[in-house]
Amino acid sequence: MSLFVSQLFNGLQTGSVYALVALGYSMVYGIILLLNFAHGDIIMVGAYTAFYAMTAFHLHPILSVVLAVVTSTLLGVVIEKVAYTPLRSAPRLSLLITAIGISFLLENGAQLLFGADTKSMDTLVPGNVSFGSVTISYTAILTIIVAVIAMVALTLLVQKTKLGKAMRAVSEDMGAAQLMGISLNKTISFTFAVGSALAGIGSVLYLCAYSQASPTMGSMLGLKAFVAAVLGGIGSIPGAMIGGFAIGLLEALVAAVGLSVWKDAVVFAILIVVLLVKPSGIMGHPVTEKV
Amino acid sequence: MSRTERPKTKLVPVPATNIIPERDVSLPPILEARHLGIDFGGLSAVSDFNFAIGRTEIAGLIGPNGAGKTTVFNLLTKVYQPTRGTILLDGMDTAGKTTIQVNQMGIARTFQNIRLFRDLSVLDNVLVGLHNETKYTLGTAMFRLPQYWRKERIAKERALELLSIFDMQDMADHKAGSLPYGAQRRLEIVRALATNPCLLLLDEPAAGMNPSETSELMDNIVRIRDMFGIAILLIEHDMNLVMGICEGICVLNFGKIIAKGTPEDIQANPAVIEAYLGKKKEGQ
Amino acid sequence: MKTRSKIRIPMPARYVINLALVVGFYFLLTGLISSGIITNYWTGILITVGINIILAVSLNIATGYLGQLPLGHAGFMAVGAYAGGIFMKATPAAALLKEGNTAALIPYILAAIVISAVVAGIFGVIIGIPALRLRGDYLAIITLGFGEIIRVVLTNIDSVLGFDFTYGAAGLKRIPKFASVTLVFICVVLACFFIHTMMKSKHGRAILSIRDNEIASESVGVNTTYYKTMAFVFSAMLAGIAGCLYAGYLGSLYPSTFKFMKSIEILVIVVLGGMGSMLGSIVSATVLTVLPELLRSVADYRMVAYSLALVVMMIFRPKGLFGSYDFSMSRVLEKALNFVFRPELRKGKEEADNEQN
Repeated sequence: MSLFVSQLFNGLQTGSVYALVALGYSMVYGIILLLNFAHGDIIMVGAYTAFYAMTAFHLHPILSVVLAVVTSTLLGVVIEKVAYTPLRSAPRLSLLITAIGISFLLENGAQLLFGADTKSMDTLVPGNVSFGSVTISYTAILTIIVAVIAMVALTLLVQKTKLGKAMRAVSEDMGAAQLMGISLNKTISFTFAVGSALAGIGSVLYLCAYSQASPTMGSMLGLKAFVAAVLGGIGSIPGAMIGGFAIGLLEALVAAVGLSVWKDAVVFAILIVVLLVKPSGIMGHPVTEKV
Repeated sequence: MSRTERPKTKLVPVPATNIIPERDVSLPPILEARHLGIDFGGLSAVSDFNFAIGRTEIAGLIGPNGAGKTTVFNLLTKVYQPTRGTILLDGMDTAGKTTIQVNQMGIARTFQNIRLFRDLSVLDNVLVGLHNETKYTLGTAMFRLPQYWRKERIAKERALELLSIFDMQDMADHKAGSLPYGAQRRLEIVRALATNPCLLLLDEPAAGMNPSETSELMDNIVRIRDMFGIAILLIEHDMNLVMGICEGICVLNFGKIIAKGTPEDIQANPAVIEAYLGKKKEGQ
Repeated sequence: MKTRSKIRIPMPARYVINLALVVGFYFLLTGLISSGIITNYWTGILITVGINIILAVSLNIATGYLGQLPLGHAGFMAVGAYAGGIFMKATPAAALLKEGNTAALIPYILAAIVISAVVAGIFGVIIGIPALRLRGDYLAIITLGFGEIIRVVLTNIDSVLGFDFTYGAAGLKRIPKFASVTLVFICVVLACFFIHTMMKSKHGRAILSIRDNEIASESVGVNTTYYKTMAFVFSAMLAGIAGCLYAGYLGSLYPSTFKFMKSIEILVIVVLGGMGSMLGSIVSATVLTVLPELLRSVADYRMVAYSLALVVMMIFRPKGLFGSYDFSMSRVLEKALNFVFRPELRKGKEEADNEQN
């Protein structure tokens, strides 16, 4: 029982990171129908920023965290401006290939800059708390709390603010939104900014959980988060959260029964099954082309 | 069955003056829709659509924007599966058939927003239309067996012949996407004709054309019917065109038929006038 | 004066000319190798070029012609490589190879190629039928997932089966090295020939029509599901053959070779060459294989340059270097003949000569 509960918290912890990253995928897909492959690598850049801020420049952890989030946000917006804006009217395939290119550029750039090896550091938030026989790390609790706060804030932002309304309008109908006087460029950039900021928070949480950074850390994390977004229904904010937690828990479950080497295969198998059974995901709406 | 027995239509180079095969009223209609309807998420887009088209009739489907005209086309070609009702093509039920099968049974169409194979040549567009008429296997093609050369030559000749209807044979090597707008609309019609249909559906063929182009198109539509001996159903907003060449007209509003009949009937029908111009207020 | 018509090379002659050119090129190549002008080291690179050409032209079927974006091409290559490798290990091919008994080796090699094509093709069907029901980017993800699953399975299957099958991460070693320059050359030529003859037929036109407008394609009676699956499976089979040659060239296989990164490398080749252009794929595969060898000193920057090239290309020249242009030797010859013998036609040269062959 105690093993089950601690695995549950493990799953929730990983799931929180997935959920935060999945939100970024989902928001960007919802607004410009782009699978932003580079999203996972923004996390990697965020993690390196926080890592170097703390180890090389000995900045205060809080300041480092802020720096990581700001860097991720800026990077997301810059990528959107430089690589995606010129292709807004291009075929979807070109946009997708560009996103893959950016993703590889970031990964290989980081490899050149920081080296291919994994950088390790001390745990940010040491210590555990025990409930009877169950031991849970402070990191896990912190991760889950931060993720939930971020998600609540995002929901409020999208539902209650003017910019949120603009985002929803643009994702519904870009042309009509423009006619209503909504600035397309501003809204799309804002979406990337918010998504990347969430990725920045995710990167810090990842750093808390695993205390390490590597150039390729973002690709697998990004892919799994993407699976989470698809599972929940891409374009849907609550869907991304549900999907993230579901994937996190699933992984913990697979590891718990001693099949952790098959973890990645199981996640992708789940993705394939979901796409075949219900391509729109748990919370998504089916899309049909108008003839 | 009658589809396969139908003799291959010969292209008549110059249209003789109205060689419309005699209107044989005793023959069953080529297309008959009975109580056709479709719902989108509880909303009824088309309901109780009853309509029949004669074997060589030119029929018009008109109505205000959003009346459900294109939806009817999509139902007939099975882009949408109807929620209710039956469609009989040459007496055969098309229930459960796919778009592809319905095309093979003899319905060909054009699209309101032109859908050409833009990166293919004009000739290749027509050759794709001849896909099911050109019969050889993948192996035959890969090993370049004699049958490949023979069938390809026949297909190419046929394609050029079809293009000559609109005097487009000289454009055969141009990219379809580079053609001027009017030529693109014509090419779509040629491509549809290449599938050897018995019923041709034209979705706003005159959209974006000037009066002289429209009158040329009217001649061409009649000419196509005469040459191929097929039925044509068209959606059009240009009343001159509809009243000029359609023998039967069906008026749709809010997904329901509000009037059916000859052009004269329709022009005099108060319900049609109301749908197009709005109801006259009392006392005005 | 009666104007003479353009000189056109009749169809069978075109094939003869092309065959002669291919055979000539082959003898040039083998001559250079046997005379030592092309060293052993460069012969190896030539084989890699050939394998990469097959990979590129096969992916080009799915991306360039069909208009989809599969991201698991390395997965099909892996399946073919392991199928061919395991088969060849089980045959007496190694002994025959040592004896230099080439004639006796041929049936085994043919069998290995067929087996890898069939196995990769089966995986193509299994993954293609469901994946092709979905829209473009979902297909990308589903094939990506498939590629990753293949890799995980190849790494861990032995522990499940309880006996040595793929030898996991330690690698499948001591595969007979049967991939000679001649074999790879023949495979490249046949692959290109069959892709060409398929694409220039009603079947190829059907595939292209789906890329341009799937709805219109259905409306003229093209069985889109069938043709999408066919193109996808054909693409997978060729990737399997490339994998088989890869196994026969290196002699050992590791699951880590067939990572997502490998799929992207192939995609880069196709995109840079121009999606839909076989010539583009061939040139790009050659350049992108040879260039890193020439620029060993800056090898670290290779992937950065690739990814940068991908982005820059999409923004400034989305159709790739060659667009959808395909080169035909006989057409060049035709133009030359016309230039020399039909001077009066020179003015009208700008008429696009898009003769179908």
